Amino acid sequence: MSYVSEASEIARAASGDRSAQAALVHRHMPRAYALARRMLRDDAEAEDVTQEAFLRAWKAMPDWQPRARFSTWLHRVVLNLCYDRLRKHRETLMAEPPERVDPAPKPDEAVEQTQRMAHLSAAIDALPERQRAALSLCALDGRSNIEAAEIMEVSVEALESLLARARRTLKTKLKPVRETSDDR
Amino acid sequence: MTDKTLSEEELVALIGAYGADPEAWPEATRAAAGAALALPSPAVSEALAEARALDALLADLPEFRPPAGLAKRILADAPSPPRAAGGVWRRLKERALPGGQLWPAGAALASLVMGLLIGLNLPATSAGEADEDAEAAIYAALGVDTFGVSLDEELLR
Repeated sequence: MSYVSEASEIARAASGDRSAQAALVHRHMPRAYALARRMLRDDAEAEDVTQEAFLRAWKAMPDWQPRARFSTWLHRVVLNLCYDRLRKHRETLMAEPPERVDPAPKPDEAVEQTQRMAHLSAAIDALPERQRAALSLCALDGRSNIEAAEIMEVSVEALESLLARARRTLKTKLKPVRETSDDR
Repeated sequence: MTDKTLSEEELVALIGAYGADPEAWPEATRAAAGAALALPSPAVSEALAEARALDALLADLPEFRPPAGLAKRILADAPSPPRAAGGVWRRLKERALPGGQLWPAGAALASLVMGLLIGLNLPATSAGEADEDAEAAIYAALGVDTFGVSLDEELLR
């Protein structure tokens, strides 16, 4: 969607046009929620953050200036709200780290796949916040390096560094699992 | 990294950051990727193999889907269409002045004033007659046929 047509859709949404509002929500909400969920590791908190981000969007729309794409703006708000929540909960999270499933080897292939995914999810969840954000935006959400850097408000070089560190950590953590499954 | 050619080191760094698929790489590096990847290099081959294994795992990761009803709740917070200004006064005005025309209200007012003037200027013969005359003037102003009403009343007696 071009900047012009997006700006016109936002103007219509701001003036109360229900179809323009619904189009914006259906286009952007699932990815915003997925990012919040990946960052916060909690369904209810991700839902709150997504709702709060859209509330801010509705308020910002009457004065909207098409300097950035709506998607970039919205995901930046989501990410900053996630950082705020993580900062507030950090002590609790550190005192009580979430339980991780230790995948015990079982013969069933489906179970094995589920365990692999659980192991990967746990490894992603354990990444530092900014690495997790970079990986979520680029590797999981398929955003370009430029857009991901804009959302995270970092340089492209910084984003690349975060991505490289995230992938290196995942490779190290997942190696035993991969080797175990390769040995079988 | 916008060079037309990529060194082995740059290529390994790209693979390490963005994975094995050049489609996921920065746009400016994609053109050079094909040629660079074709060159034999154990370091690049090893980086590619590791990145492919991780990419495959990441691709299989289940998506987080938003809960049912979230879209509805978000839309409930969205701004409402602006209400037309004026409210009750505007609706009254529309009734009194249909289509913005003044003549129906003006005509009703003029006939009321004229009726009252005529009625008040009639000579009063008695208290009862004066009341009847005043009533007749008001009915006339309102366009009610008092003669017809009187006849009906006579017939009913």
